[in-house]
Amino acid sequence: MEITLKYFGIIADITQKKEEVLLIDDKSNTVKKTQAILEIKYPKILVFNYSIAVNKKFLQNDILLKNNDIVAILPPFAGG
Amino acid sequence: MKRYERQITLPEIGISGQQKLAEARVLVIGIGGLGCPVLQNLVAAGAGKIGIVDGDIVEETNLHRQYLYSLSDCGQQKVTVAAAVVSKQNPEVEIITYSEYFTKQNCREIVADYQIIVDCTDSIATRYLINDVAVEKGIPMVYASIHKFEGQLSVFNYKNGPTYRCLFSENDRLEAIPNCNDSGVLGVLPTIIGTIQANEVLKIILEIGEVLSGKLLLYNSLDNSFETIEIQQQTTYKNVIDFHIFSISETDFFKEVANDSSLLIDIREDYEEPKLSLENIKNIPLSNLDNFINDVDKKQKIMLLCQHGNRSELAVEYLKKKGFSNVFHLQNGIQSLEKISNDIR
Repeated sequence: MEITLKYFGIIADITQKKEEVLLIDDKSNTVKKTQAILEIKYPKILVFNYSIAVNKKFLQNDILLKNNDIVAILPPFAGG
Repeated sequence: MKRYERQITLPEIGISGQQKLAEARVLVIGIGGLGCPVLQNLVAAGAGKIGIVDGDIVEETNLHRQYLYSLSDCGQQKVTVAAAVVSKQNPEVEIITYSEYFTKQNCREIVADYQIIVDCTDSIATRYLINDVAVEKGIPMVYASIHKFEGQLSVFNYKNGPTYRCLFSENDRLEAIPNCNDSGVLGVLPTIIGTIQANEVLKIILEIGEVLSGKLLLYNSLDNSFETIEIQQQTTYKNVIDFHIFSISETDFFKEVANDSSLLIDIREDYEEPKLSLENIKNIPLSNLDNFINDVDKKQKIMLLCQHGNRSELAVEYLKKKGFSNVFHLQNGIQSLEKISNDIR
């Protein structure tokens, strides 16, 4: 199935894109697993703190993803 | 009142709204890229009393985005210059300056008199502190921060709504996030974001519109996109910074010595100079502290000292985790004692 990943702040600097579509196995369709795929693809992300939102809601727990879900990867910004 | 005529005309504001503004007490922490437009907007609208906190001085590299400052202000305290400029724009507003950084030691005293905190800092550690003070005091925190061409904003702890810790729980990946000095910024971005921040402050004071609580607003100036993401209330954010004051000044240190009720421990290594010639002080290097402390009563008042105050601060945290409830350290270390004492050789 297809998941759209949206990147912000320092995470977008690392991925060098604002968003991309990820094809994932229907069986590994949790947010945690998607996060693992992402951190393997972009290992530099590992050192940063970030929160994850699915379909414009921040998550507290791992959930199952559905086809066409939008997953936002959002780090805190520091600038003022 | 003539000054405010055009905003009083708005039915949402009127005379009573202007009165609310005149009675408002707002604390703006950080007078940089975000703090300048926040302050200018609040002053122009007639917010009654505004406290401004910043320990920094004006530098030439600030001028492209911090429009309150001029070239001739370089080297001067930001709060002093900012207060002078905005007081000229609107002498009716009372400006209180704090020319220091917002820290665990001074935070409670500074926020005491305010009803809204505006977070315009460029440090994530300070942001957690502001959040925790706001939660403790039960007042809203109007948050914003920026990264290159992006900004994020929210109002935390508004009527018991979600806090900064609901959005970003603290972890050890924290300090790597760069600020404007490291990653660059175009002046218009903080000005836009700071202006939206000021708008939220005014809405809270005036009790109009929909406050940006429980939502994070994201703005990208390159493609003009605005996006909002819902923040859920965390029930487990009680893990707040321990801002009980556990550091003491040089003068208080000598009072403690005179009192003779504390167990004084110099945690430096044997080779470190200057030595302290106080009678009742124990020399227990940090590496042996764990062993030594096993035989000490957990309620005993303990005073830790090191060269500059850094190791002793860590040791205080460590002992607190071990269950010691009455631990302090000398804030700026043994070096700071040299100026005021002859008991060092």
